[in-house]
Amino acid sequence: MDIRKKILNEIVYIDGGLGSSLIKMGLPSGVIPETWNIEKPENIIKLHSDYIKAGAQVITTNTFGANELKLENCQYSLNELIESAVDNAKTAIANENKKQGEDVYIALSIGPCSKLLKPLGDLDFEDAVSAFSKSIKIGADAGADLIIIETMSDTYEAKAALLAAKESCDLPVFVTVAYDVNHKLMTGADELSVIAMLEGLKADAIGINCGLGPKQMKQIAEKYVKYSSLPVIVSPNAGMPKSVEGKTVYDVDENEFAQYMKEIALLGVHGLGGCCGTTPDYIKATVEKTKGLKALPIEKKNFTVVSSYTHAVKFENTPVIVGERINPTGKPKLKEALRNNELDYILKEAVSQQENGARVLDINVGLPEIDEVKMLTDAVLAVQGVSDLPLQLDSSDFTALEKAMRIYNGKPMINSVNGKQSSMDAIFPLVKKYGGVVVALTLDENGIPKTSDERVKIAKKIIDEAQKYGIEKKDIVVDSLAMAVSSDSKSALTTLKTVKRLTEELKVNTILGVSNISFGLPAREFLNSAFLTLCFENGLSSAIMNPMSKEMMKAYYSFCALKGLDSNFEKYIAFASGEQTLTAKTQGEDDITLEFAIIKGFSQKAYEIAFKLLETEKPLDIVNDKIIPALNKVGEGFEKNTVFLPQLLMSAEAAKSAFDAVKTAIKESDGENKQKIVIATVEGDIHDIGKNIVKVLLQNYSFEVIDLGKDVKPQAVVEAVCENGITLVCLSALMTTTVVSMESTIKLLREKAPDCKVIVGGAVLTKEYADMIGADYYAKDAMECVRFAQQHFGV
Amino acid sequence: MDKELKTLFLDADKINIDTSLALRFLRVRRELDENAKQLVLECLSEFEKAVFYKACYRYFDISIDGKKVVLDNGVSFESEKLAKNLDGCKGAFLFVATAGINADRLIKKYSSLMVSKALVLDAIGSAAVEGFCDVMCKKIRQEYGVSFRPRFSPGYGDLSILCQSQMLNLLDANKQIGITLTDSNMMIPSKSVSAIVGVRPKSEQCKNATDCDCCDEQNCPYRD
Repeated sequence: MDIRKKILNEIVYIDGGLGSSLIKMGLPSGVIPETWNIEKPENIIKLHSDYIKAGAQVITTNTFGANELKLENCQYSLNELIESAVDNAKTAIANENKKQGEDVYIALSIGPCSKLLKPLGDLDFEDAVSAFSKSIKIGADAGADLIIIETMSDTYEAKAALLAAKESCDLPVFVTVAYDVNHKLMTGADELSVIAMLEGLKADAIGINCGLGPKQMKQIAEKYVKYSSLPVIVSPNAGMPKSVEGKTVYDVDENEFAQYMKEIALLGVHGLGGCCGTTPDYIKATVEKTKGLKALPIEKKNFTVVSSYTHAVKFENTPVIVGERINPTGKPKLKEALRNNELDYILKEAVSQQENGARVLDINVGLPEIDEVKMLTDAVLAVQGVSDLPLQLDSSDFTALEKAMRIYNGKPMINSVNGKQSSMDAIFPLVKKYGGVVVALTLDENGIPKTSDERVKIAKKIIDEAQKYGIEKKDIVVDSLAMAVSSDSKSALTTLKTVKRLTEELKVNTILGVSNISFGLPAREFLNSAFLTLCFENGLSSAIMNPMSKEMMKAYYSFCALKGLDSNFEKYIAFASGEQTLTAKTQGEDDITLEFAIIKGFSQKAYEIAFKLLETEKPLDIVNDKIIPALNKVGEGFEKNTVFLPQLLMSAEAAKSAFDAVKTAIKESDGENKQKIVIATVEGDIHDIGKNIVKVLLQNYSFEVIDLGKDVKPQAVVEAVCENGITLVCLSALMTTTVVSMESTIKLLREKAPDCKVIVGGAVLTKEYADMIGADYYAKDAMECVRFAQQHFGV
Repeated sequence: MDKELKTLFLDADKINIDTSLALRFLRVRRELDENAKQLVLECLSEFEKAVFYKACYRYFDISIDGKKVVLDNGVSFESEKLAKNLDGCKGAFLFVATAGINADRLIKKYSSLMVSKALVLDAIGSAAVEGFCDVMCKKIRQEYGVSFRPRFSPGYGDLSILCQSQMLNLLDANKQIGITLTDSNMMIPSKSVSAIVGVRPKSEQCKNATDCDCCDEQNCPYRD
């Protein structure tokens, strides 16, 4: 029987600890466990046999660490290790007179690759996928019956491994992850976020292993059964490790273990196994204890959920606010930032929307003149670096959407599909493969229907078509479209009616970009906020809106408070009191000068004062007479050691916000003649604080900085230099091991751009070191770098 | 001596972060003004909300062979300075301690948004993991009834950073507490410390068997 079917309907026993058992058999520390597949196959076969005798129906191969990223220094090839592992499992099954694929299944064990993925680590997502693919292909070809991806402690890595499995074979894939004592994965994910992502990516069974004992796992198992529509697997350690007379022992014996496993099975868990410290005795005891137990039926769960790498957002009674600010439509500043590849602007928008109550962020970076495929993936990666909110990937470019869905860490929202056949044909296969909740617009080949009847009809059509792909209604959120009430006085009523019918008749979640409603009328926020309340009252599940708008947030918090969705009015009170202090603060006029605000590093104040000064003074006078002198004073103080780096930076940031205020009054023409400098942290180095410090200061002194980021290849530096006619490059390296890449970058620059000068800096560098690798200048700190730049350009 | 691998997990509130150490990392030599002090406090509070400390450690018998320090399982580290540091020791602990990945997330977040904050958080992170190492070492000393030589990390002196991966493997640090290495042998989470620390031979151990905190000998060479 197909193991997928089996585990859906029956309790399936999986084997127990492998690595810990091998250590007991005498595997010396420091020896790669997989080498025993070849050198001591008799031990491996015996262990498999013992598990089969104990009653295990799934035996996992000794391939947990067989990954090219982990086995760089092994004397055997990946093929040799994995093929012999599968052979050993087959031999054990034959020795026990069992039939492979009927009595006993061979699961190819895939463990973590022991490297962390970008953006926190340095492993590229696609490199991780390809490394996992290699091992999985070998194992599948060698005759494994299923793939078990186990002990994953990072959602992103779990996603890479699961995608690899789905793309390189047709075998069933089980995925189990390891929680810590706080019930979080190592990189922070809770239960529901993991479940949502793995279900979306079409794992065949999911669950938990390692990290905890059966007692601690029970609570997590409960949540898995509660949230998952897939069979759940639980493979605990034999308790928590403790040391007795110099040996690690686990504090739960086989009988106690079996008792807990029975309780876990009674929760509705279908896959029962063990991990570190468990032995064939543990599995045997579990099998005996749970004999005759019928597997509880698995219930399909019907809630709508999206997730990030830490948490999930469930669509329930409280409406979900989707932040709309990262969308260039009608936002000249964002357009400019996108054209200049300045992701920082997007990141600020992301964080401030989160701080103001957004629970999902829409990401749209579509502009005709930019490479949207690259920009959307870059933006998604960057935003996931600063915000843990789930994202709504928003694009009309299918390639961009697919790429973004692929590299997104979690279960995304997708904006959008519509009733056009071409749209559904393009979007649904992507949702099927990567998972996600998709926004469905009620328009089709004939445009946007005028009546609510027709809009509901399109919604139905989309839901039916989705079903053909196995995409359930819970993963569709319908946008019934808000049209300007100024051009059609009935449009608001039509939309409200449609929202109500979608909610009540189709029982589907809804979403709306509400602000369209007021197009063409004055004081739009008045109408928008009133319309928002009306929509919520008619059942709207989520709104795409501006969380920075006080009017809109007032409507939202008030609605929640009045509808009993805000226990003890906590959120309302927090919002209302936050509102008041904010007003109080801005009203209390301190009479401080702009210079003082900059020197002391009051960013917000510096912006306000500079903005106010524009009423009486010319922009350039503010810059030359106030901002620059203040900056110089701080810079000199730093050089004399009376001002320290944190203060220097706070002043720089205050100056920057003063510049931002002044910029609103200057025509965009001065950008042209700014001196350009390229800055980068060299390849292999992922520290970027130092580089960012230098960048902020250079910008303060009105240089235009082209920031290539961190871990930058020499070739990329050279390309940026040649494309932009750059004469000055700043390179940063923090580690002795990466100074080598600094040297090769300089070498390549000398070859391809001999006129370009190079400033180097970073913790491990010295003047001598800098000379040795052929740099032009060594800057001991950020100020010195500014001075060199001024000297270089003669300013 | 117990040679098993052990782990230690501590909540953020169990470690007192030495802000003066953080400020020393930032080369701040005088009192900061109010606004900058406020920034430090803000960072400290955000940091403490985010982190969770984890460590693993393990005892090995050791022998010194010229410039080489050889562990009882045959693994060796080549470094004259380390050999000197461990001279006379019969055993040593290997350990790795981390403030966890959330510290990286926090620093990364502000690195693009507000670099002054990233800088201060980075220094606080370094001070925090130092503080955690101290607490952990004290705990190990009490657990095993030993006292320690100064700790020694890969990358110090002539102990190559390349032995980092070997150390982490001996401690199963990836699986136990989630430590990974970049291609350039940098640990992530970045606020992590790995080290080898020698157990002082009996002849060197402090005569006063009391806890250092209760001892008056302020200038004692064995003081924590």
